[in-house]
Amino acid sequence: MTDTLVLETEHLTKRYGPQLIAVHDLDLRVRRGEVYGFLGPNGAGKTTTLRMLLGLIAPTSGTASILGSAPGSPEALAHIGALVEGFGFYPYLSGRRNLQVVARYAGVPAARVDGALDQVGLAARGGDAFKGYSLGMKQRLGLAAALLKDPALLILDEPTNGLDPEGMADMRALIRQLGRGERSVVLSSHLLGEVEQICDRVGVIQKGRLVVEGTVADLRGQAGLLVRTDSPARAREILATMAGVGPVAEVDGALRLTADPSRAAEINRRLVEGGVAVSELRPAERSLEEAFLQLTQPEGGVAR
Amino acid sequence: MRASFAAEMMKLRRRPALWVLLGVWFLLALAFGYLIPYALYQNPPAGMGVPEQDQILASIVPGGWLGNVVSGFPLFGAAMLVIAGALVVGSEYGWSTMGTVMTQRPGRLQVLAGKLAALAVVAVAFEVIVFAPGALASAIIGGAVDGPVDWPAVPEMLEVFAAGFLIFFTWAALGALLAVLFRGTSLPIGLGLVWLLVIEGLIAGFAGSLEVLETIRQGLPGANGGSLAATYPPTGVAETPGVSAVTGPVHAAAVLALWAMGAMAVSAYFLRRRDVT
Repeated sequence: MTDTLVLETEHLTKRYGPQLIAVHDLDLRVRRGEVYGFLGPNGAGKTTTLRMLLGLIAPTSGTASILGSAPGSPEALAHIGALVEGFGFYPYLSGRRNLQVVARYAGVPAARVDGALDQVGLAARGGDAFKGYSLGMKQRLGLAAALLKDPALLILDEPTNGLDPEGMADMRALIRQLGRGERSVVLSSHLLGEVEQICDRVGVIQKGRLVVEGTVADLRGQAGLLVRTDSPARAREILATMAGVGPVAEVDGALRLTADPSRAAEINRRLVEGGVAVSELRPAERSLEEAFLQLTQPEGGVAR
Repeated sequence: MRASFAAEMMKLRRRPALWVLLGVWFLLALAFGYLIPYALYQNPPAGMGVPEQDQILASIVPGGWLGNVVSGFPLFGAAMLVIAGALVVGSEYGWSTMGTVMTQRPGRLQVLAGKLAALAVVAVAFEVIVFAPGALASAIIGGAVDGPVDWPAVPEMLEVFAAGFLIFFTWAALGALLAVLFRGTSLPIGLGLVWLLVIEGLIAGFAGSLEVLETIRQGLPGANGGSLAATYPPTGVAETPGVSAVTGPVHAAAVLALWAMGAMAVSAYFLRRRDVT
């Protein structure tokens, strides 16, 4: 990963009428060679953002630069592969023939078609009519189409939608593989596990606004410890006196504190000396799901 | 634009709906242009005199080939091309392939130009599929009745072919425009056919009574297509539907060209400005 930006937006906004703001003042930065997770609940504005980046939707205000060119320009599109929700294929053509049509539009040699089909595991079914494909096969064909240009930037919108668990695992492995090297990948998803497994950095969008952007570790927050005692109130008092121990929160009857996990023995000793019986003490890491819920729920929202 | 055109042709060559349209058009043109008139000529109904029989024969032998074939263009052929134009553009919305196409390399106007160029090829195909068998049928009939085998001169053939192309391409472009405006196929096809088969007919019906309607009629694509086709007699058994000399051939050709250019320009405007959702 380098610091060169392949995608940059400034104050990108899309309004539909006076009431609905689908995307609001969005500032995104995606670097060369990274897999960027674009995370948000359904309806948060992810697909609208991606469509703006591809030039399919005109922003109401703000700017975007993608690979140094304007969104939707032939210069940018020549190096972008996209699989965006709602993209389709010609039902009367085979999967292979569909890719040949896409290759013609993209100006890439038709010889790449078989390689792309092979890459997504569709080589054996490439001759079947698209209308007979399962949802999973359609997703794979969409990814194959996105790969035809050997793109510098891959934009994938919910690529594992409709796939069975095995297909999802295969797709994630493939995306990880595709994201190695110089290629950048923008992966939009509402599946936290997916983003956690694949992405280097994550942007969380909620109601059209980017609420946070950072690495997965940043989002989870600092490492901490989980302490279960017979006297949480007394334990809080003792912990409050200790240097280097951060905020203490109660989670399912246990206390979670921000502290270096290597200090577990010291904390245990202090609690026991203070008359608090410790029944459980272990490293605790906030899951991405917890972080996400905290960020996207109204009371937990973090304004940027 | 070349890439868009090549991709478009690749799709169209394998599109069943287009082959069905071509087949229906071929059967209609052959049946109503040659088979039925020939049956009438051979078995004239009571009351049909020799002059009427001669008129029928004149239309189905080589000398009447061009006029006979092109007389089917303004109404039946135009209906086929409206459908073809709406299908070529509108299906991209119905199948959600517009997004797929627009995220490849070509810009929106290049994609549209590719589609319109492909529609021009379709218009030529719709001409060839009826002119060639029409020539064969008229040669066979001419030989069967020992009639005169005097083929039209090549410049006249080219002129009629060009006139037919103008009629067809105008309606295909109008079908494409409706598809861009309504982002689909069903409504554009319905509206195109209603316009061609109903509204133009109603205006023609009232044009004799209201001068303003007559003026409007002289600017309509259907009436001008009919006027252009009417330039090339004979037109067959009775008055062919949609074929009537409302305006002169130059006026008709100019109006059709304006409609075609207008349809392309408005399509380009909307396709470029609108979001692809």
